[in-house]
Amino acid sequence: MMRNRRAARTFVGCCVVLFAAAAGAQELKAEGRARLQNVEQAINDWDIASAKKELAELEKIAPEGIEPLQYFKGRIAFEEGRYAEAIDLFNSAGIDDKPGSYLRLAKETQRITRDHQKAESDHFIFFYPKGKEEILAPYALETLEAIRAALSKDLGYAPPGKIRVEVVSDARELSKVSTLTLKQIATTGTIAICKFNKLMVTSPKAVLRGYDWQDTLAHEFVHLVVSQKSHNTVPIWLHEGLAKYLESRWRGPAGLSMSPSTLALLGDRVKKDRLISFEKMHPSIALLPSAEDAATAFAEVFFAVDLIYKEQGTAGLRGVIDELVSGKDDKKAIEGATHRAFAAFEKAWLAHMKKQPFPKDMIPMSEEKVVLKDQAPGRAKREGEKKGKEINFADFGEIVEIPARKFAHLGELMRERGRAGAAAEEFGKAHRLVGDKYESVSNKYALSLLELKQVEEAERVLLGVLAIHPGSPATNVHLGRIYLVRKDLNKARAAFLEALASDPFDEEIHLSLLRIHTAQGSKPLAERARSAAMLLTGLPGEKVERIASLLGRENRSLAELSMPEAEGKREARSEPAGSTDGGR
Amino acid sequence: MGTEVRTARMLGEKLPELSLDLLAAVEIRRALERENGFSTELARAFLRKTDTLAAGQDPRRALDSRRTRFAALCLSLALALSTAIVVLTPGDWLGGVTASLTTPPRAQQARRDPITGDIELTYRYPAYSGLAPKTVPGTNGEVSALAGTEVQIKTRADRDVARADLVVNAKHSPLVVTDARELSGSFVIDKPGSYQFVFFKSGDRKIAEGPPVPITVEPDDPPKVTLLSPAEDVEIDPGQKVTLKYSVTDDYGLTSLELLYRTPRDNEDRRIPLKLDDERRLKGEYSWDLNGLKIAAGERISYYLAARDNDEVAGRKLGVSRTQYLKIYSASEHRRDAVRRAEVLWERMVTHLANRLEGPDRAADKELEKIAGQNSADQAGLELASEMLQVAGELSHQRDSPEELWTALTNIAHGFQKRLRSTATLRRLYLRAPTLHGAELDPGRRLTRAVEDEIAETEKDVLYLESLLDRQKLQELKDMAKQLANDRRELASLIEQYKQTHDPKLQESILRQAAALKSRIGELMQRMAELAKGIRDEHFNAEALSHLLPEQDMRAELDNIERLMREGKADEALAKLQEMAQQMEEMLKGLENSDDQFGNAQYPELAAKFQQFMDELRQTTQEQKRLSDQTKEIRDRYKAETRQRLSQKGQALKDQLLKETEELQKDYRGVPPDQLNPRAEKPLEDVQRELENLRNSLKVEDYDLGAESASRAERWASELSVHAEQKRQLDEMYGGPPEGRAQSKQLAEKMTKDAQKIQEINQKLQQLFPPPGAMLSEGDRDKLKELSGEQRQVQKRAQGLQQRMDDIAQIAPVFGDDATEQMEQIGRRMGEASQRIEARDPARGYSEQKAALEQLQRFQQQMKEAQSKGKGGRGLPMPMYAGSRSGGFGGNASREKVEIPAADQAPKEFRKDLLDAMKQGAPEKYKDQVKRYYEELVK
Repeated sequence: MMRNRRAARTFVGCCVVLFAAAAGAQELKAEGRARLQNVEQAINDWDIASAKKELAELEKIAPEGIEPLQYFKGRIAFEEGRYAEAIDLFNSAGIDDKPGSYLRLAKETQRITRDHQKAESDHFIFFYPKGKEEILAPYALETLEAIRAALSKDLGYAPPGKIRVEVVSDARELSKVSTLTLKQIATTGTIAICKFNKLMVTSPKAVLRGYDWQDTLAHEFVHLVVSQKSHNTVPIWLHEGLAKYLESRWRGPAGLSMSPSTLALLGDRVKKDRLISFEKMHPSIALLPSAEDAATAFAEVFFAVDLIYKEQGTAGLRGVIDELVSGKDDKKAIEGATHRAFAAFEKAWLAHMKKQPFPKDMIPMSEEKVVLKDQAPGRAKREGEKKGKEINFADFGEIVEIPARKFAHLGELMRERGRAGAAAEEFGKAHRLVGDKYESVSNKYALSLLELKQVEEAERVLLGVLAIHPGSPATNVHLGRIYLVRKDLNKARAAFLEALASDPFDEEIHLSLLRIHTAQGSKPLAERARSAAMLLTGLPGEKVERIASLLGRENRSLAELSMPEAEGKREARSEPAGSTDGGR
Repeated sequence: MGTEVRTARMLGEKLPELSLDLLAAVEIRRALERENGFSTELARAFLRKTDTLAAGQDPRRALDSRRTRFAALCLSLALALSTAIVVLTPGDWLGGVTASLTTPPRAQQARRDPITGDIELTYRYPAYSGLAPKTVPGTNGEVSALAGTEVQIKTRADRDVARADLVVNAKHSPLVVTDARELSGSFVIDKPGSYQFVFFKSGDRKIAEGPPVPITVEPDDPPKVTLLSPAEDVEIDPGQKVTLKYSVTDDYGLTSLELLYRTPRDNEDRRIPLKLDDERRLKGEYSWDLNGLKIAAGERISYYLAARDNDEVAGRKLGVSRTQYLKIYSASEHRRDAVRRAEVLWERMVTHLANRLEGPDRAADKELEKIAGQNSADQAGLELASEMLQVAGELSHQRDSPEELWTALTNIAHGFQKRLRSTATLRRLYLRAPTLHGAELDPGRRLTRAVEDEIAETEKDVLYLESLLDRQKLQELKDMAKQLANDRRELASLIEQYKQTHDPKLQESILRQAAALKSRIGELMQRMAELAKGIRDEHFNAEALSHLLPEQDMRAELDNIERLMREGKADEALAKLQEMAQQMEEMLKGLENSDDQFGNAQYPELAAKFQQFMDELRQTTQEQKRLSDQTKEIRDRYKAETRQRLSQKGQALKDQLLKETEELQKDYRGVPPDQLNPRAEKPLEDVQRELENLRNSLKVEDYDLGAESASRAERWASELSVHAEQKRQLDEMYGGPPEGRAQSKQLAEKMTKDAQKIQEINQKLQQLFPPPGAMLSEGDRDKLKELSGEQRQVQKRAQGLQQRMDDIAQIAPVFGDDATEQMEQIGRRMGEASQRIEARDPARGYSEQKAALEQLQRFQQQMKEAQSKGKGGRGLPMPMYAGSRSGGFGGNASREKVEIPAADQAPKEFRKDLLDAMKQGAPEKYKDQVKRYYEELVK
């Protein structure tokens, strides 16, 4: 992005000279230069409307078709998603087709999104690759509309027009449309970006365990709103604090997205008095020496926003942004919004952090990390692979307590051989040693218990781990199975929807939702789930309905998704096998 | 028809009772067959009546007896004649019978009589056969010879003829006719069939045609080629020479003999001509050097021998041996096989563990029936343990089978067996007395504890063995990756060659190789991926597997290279190949890295403890060596002093003591076993053994060992005399027969006397030695005191090592029972050494120290070897096999020379073993040599 921006500035400088030469007249020179700079500024401030307005004025005084004009017209076309037009304009502006140039960016974006499908809501257009990403569309649009409405209320701002949201298939594509390098994406775990007046997200199919894609959409939208509202004046640390804090607004109140593992880390830092000072967060949290420091800093800023919100409500948040727009620096802006000296704010902030209910033990952060399938082929579920029994030894790699890891390993050996009793005993030993710390241990333990029909105990184990790893799709699916058997449809629906928020391509989720919505008489939702299940299983509607109707029966195994009728489904599919994925 | 009527009439005349009734009956029966106007019932009634009447007649009245007798006489004569003929000419008779029973030839021609006299045949064989011409006079003309043989015929016609032809297989050729009757001619045999003579009168009028005479073509068989050795498919080392032994025979001669073989890379057979010493039959051998062939390990070469005969007529015929295969020894294949076998056992262990975990043995409320049902699980476990030992034994004999695997199997099996036996015993106890209560004695609780212990240990075993198996798979992955890299290098070298020559043929060859390589890479990558999937190590899956990803990339790259070569762009192809090399390098590096780190994640504690143990072992060994060296210096001084004394005093005593010993031996041999009570049998046996030891020791002038034997013999002799005395007293007490009492009295006295004699011998021998320390200087005595204390410290260290071994065993079965026993023995020796030194006996003290040191060094060496077979001491500790390697184990027999300890270093046990061995005797012709050898050894 930096390189891109620097190149753009150089280009603008050249444009001004060229423009002056072309315009000839001295009096026009000053106005032209000013307007060109205004156009660039407006684009950088995420104010495309103003940029367009300035450009229209410029067109009146500039000779037709001169390169600077073409360039900015291209920029605006690109920001508005008119990629073909942008390519033509960049070409006519004489932009080189080289890595990092706008021309290359427009070309790559056009290539990648050329065959995308689209779905629209009142304020968003959701572009997605042909295939199973179709499943995402209704949920994504609902999420986006919900967060838009919430932010409109909280921050008093809603972006004009319809916002583009583009889904890319993998990290490679994300790097092509975002100007980030693949290495940067891989090392930072970037999965979505808000840039060029749009949201770009990676399909959950590219991620090993899926990811909280709905929260991510909301998170990126917060960035977009803050950027537009503040004219890009909010510093990165605060940007991240606001986005993280407000990202849960699509599904409820703000501040729900602080994970127990991050909280545990912060707790540990508070205890050891190793917090990251405000000064050290400048100029960017990303420049901190370690990933753990960065995670601590993000947690700190989350609680800074939390403090403002708790004390001042949404007015406080709006106030900070307004102060920044008015040209104040971040400290002054906070002082202005909180009506106290920054030092006092800092003190209160620290006190606020210390009050948090930190978990007693450290919780592994690894499960929060977004792991791309490309980076972990050994763990990735292969295309077309059935969900089945979910035997996986690699999941135990992160267990640092060696005896527990060994017991878990033995447990999996037993599960692999269908020895549920033995497996439950071994997992039980592991679980006793590490408690709810690891998703892998708890889920495998619960699955073994479910096989033994020890449903109550399995539920207890699953709820325990869910408290430590909220949103875990596997845990939610396993809980959902239990609730479905108990005919507790509301709880089951909540569990499966929570699983869907991270792992939308698990056929079981949609089959179960079909069963639940049908039972609850929600026809449109049932139809949505039915279509998704058909798409993922490749089975005709009647079969999908039959399978769904069997789910939750007491005599069926709770330990795995068994779909006897789905045998040979791959052959029955009309689309190529490569276009679908279990997604887990 | 007429006969019936006539007969009826004749009978009517002879038998008046029947008169015309019979004739009427015949006519009525005939009429009944047609349609008639009369009553059929009446007619049938008449017939029945006539039948009854006829049945009542005597047939003899109707016959002429004279004619009957004549006929009988004629028949008897004919029978007698036939019998005589059969007896006199049985062959003809049988032949006739046989011929009458066999089917005559289908196309039997009309028989013609010969029209010539005897035929003289002269065969002129084809030159290649090497056969001399042969004339056969007086034949019936039948011809039998090799194809290509010229047959000359001479005969005489049975009539005068103007002209005669020989018709061979329907082809006419004229015969030479002399004197109107003498005929001669010839023909060449080319196919089987027949010939015949045809006679003509003047003017081509055929007057006679002789019968066809068969022509038989004798076969010229193809050569018979037999591979005598190798008798079957064999596995050989790369570059090894193979000796082929073969025999080749042919009926008329050989022209060539070749060895034909084909490697997996050949499209056609390659040939090696072999020497032919004899033209008809030979036995030969050929030393086949396979060194020049580029054959990879695991590949097979097919081969056979082919010989051609010298048949110039029908063409040289080929004879081939059976096709056999040589397989190039592949260490990795053998390792793979070992892994597969060990994995099968591991799988069964997992099942056993599952059975135990799910079994009823640990239930609080045990049900007798269910507990009894687990007997089969105990049994299955014991069978598994013995199979593990068996497989371990077999693998230990195989070259290149991973030592860590069979060692681990051995260690695991021993522990497993022990625990299973304990479980089984406690189960039996529980089943016998399930209700026996009382905290510690409760059989139910004890069973629970035993099974819990078994589960905990089996868990460890399963995990450890699995890690070793995973590691082996990783090694295999590495091998494959190296194979891939070799293939790539080969291709690169070909492209380089092509660059130099631009030879289109070479280009073709490269393209072929690229295609083959592509498919090999595909295969290898697929196998690697499958193998990698089988590795369950958590860390390996996540980290190292990523290096196996580029399969698709590699294939695409090879496609590119192939395309570039077709386009003649060798430089670009090489550049691509170079990129591929980097990819492979990364993959290999990743695998190496995984191998290095293997087990670190899973067994960090074990790795650390193991390292500590190794350090401690090294230090203990060093310390023991230092102490031994110091004791040796004192011992040497002591020895020099005592040598003089012993040689003087001992020599004087030797003969006398030997004589006394032999007399005593004779006495004890003469003790009738039934004169003593059964409890005396053992002391009697022992005293005889010790006397034999004493005698041998005296012979070789080992007074030290002799003194010990004498001391033990004294003890047994004394015990024996007590038994003899008891017997005497009993006989007296119970008033046995006087003879018996006299005998027991005599024996008791003799035993007492002999015991005294042994005591005296012992005393004399003991007196030979100066009291410990008597010949040492003050300084040496002080030093010995100091050394004794230090030796105790080292002993404590050895005990500490034992403790560390126990700790390690809590984590994984790295050490077997043998290793633990060895370490215990080392400790005991150190204790013994300490005591000896403390008692100022540097000779024996040093001997024990030396033995302890050697055992320590051996232990250390075994540990090092085991780890070097792992990966140089990092990561997962390898199991150690510390067994004796006899009795089937340790097939990878050490090629090191067996070191025989010097006499002064030989521990007492060793010398005693030798003396025991002397007692076993040797074959007569070797007795002297063996004796000399032993004497030399124990000097």
